[in-house]
Amino acid sequence: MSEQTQATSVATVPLPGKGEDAANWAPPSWDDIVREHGDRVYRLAYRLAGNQHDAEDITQETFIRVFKSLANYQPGTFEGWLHRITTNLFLDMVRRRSRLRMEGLPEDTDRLVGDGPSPEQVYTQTHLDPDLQAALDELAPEFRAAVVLCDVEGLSYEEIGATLNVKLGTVRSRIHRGRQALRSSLERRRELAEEGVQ
Amino acid sequence: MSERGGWTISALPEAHLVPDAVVAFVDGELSALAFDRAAAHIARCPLCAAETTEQRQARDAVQTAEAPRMPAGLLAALRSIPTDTDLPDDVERLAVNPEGQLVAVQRPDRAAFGSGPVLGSSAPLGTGSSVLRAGGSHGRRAVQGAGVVAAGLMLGALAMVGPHALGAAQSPTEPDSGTGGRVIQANFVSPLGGGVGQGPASERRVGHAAACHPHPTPLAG
Repeated sequence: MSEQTQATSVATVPLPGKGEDAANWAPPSWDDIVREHGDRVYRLAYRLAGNQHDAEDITQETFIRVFKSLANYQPGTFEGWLHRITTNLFLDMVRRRSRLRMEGLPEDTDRLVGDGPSPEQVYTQTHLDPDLQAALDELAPEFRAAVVLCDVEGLSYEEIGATLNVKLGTVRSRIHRGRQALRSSLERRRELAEEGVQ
Repeated sequence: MSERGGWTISALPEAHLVPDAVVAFVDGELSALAFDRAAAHIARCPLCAAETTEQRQARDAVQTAEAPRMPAGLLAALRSIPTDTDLPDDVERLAVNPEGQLVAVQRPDRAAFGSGPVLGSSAPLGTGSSVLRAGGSHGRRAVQGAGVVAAGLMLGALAMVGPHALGAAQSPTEPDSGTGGRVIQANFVSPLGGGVGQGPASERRVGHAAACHPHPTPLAG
């Protein structure tokens, strides 16, 4: 799944490297970029944040940052760039909220949107395996990020290490422990559901 | 898969696999040699086999879950970022990256992005009034920024500054003639003319680059 999408996007944003002949290269339009990468960024944001509102906020902020700092873009790293921005926005959000909580301020003061579930949310809640998301949400953010980057995005350990700015040993241990916790959580939920049925 | 970061599997035949080896085995992140050794151990060690199974189960649960898709409203919001986003005031945004590529940002006159003019088709850009900032008070700085660009500061080429912006760049003291839209389009900019002009010495004019890199029409709608 993820390998496929990655391959596609790499092919569609073929930015020439240093020294290559740029004559035949046409820069993608903003629309191209959004269409090409929007779903993947959203999926990552959703699996990290665990809800549509935050996922939308993170996705939008990711693309705003991309827009504002296209100058920093380096050929061949667009995917990694998006992963890094998205993941860091998520981790920043988590840290900011935990700071706010400690200071006794209301959570999420900067959110503009709100209100009831949209049709999309209803769809999400009924179709997107809420147990899995709930189990992911139980993981500490750093562990969740490692697992999601590995198993949703299909990144290699090396890429995950670069995205999270941690060593490979840390990547391995976060994925290992993250998956263990995820599996226990899923197991627990399954048992609860079975009890509920009986 | 290749060995990662010099890490080597530390499973002796009679010892169990360490957690790092288990996870790397499952994810195909072991070297061929380490993989073979781990596989051999797993084949005769139910405990380690169970651990790898658990890792796989968790991985499969995540991998097989249906992927959330972007809501339509969000897609629209993302597409309109170039018209909705205030550009930062600093001109570092117009810069050359280490690869010698340059990126600039322009905005058509508040037109919906997809339907707006594209890079190189700069007529509507010229019909706009102020160069960058809507609201006048920020126009000054945008004009200064463009002036810097025209002066060739680190820039080999700048794709997509409209005629009006070019004019403003050449006469930075000219007051804004309006406050309408900002001349913006976000695009990746072409590399600097096939690799030349990667240094600060290059003094290509902004309008020239725009003419050299006509942009394909983006998807409509």
